[in-house]
Amino acid sequence: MSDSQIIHAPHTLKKAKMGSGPGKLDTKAIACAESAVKEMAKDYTQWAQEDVSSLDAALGEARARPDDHAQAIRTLFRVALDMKGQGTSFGYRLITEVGDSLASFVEERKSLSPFDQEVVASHISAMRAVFSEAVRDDGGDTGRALVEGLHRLVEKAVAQS
Amino acid sequence: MTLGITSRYMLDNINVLVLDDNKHMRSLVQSILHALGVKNIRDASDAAEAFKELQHFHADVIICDWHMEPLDGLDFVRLVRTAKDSPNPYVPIIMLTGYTEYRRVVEARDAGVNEFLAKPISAKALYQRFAAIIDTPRPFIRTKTYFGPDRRRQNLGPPRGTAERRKSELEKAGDSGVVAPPGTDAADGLSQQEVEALLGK
Repeated sequence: MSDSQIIHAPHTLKKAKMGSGPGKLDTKAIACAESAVKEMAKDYTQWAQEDVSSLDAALGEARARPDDHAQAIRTLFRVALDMKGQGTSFGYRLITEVGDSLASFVEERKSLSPFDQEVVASHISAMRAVFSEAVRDDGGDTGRALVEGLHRLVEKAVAQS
Repeated sequence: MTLGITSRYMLDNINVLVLDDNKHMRSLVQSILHALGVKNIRDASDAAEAFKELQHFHADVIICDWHMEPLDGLDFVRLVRTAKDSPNPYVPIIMLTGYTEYRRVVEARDAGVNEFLAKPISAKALYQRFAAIIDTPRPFIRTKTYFGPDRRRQNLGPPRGTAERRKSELEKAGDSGVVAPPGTDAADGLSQQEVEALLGK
């Protein structure tokens, strides 16, 4: 006798569809939703820069408490992950890439060496530059060079640890 | 004369619960949902609050972030699926997260999520997840170690980024030798097709 049981749960979302077969995506509704996101984008840079300040504060905390970086690392990871998850939605793909790089870098770290702290500081500076120069999308060649430079720093820090 | 009948989605009569600890992300998701026609939306900033909300809000779909404290998104999914006082263990759950690594998708699938949507999100991608849940309801499976949507596996080959994967890709590429270079998105993360396959679609 099989140890698994198959349960056909009630399909409560039947009510969300008219007709049979795959539904047609409502392009007007999607366009409307994209407009709503564009509207929110007007405020994005303000709260994103507050996020950058939170990163800066967490780095300051790590520098001030050399024996205990756990809380600072948690904050750096959470904020960087949030920034990664939002940048592209609002037209700032470079923020997504820098946020991704920073989140990946700090995720597995138990503490931040002085060089690690410089790597974090470089990510924060990069984010500040993106907003101060209003660099949209991936930032073209300059953006790519920036991200590659950060990746090289991360590799160097990982090699040192 | 033949009348063409096109099926369409009507999201105005479904209830959606949005769980994310970031208020801006909650606003973004809610704005998209409103524009897509969803009228009944509740939100929560932590898993305990969301679980409490479910006691009196009959959610048809839950959109849930992963990285939260003190309970994370996976804890919440397990709570909804297996807690004795869960009001609806079968509710479809879309996991919305900045994580896209292979092991993360597998972990989310094994906790019982229906759909996986990587941040940053787009209106179209979110709409497509709703369409998938509506069009292809999956039976639930109960075993000694799992309760959740059917996780039928498809053979995707070795995970991306591994030496085995590179070897497999080189073999498949044959004469062209075209494979995703290491360090690119394609080599480090999962494509949406792979995510869907992992989730048993």
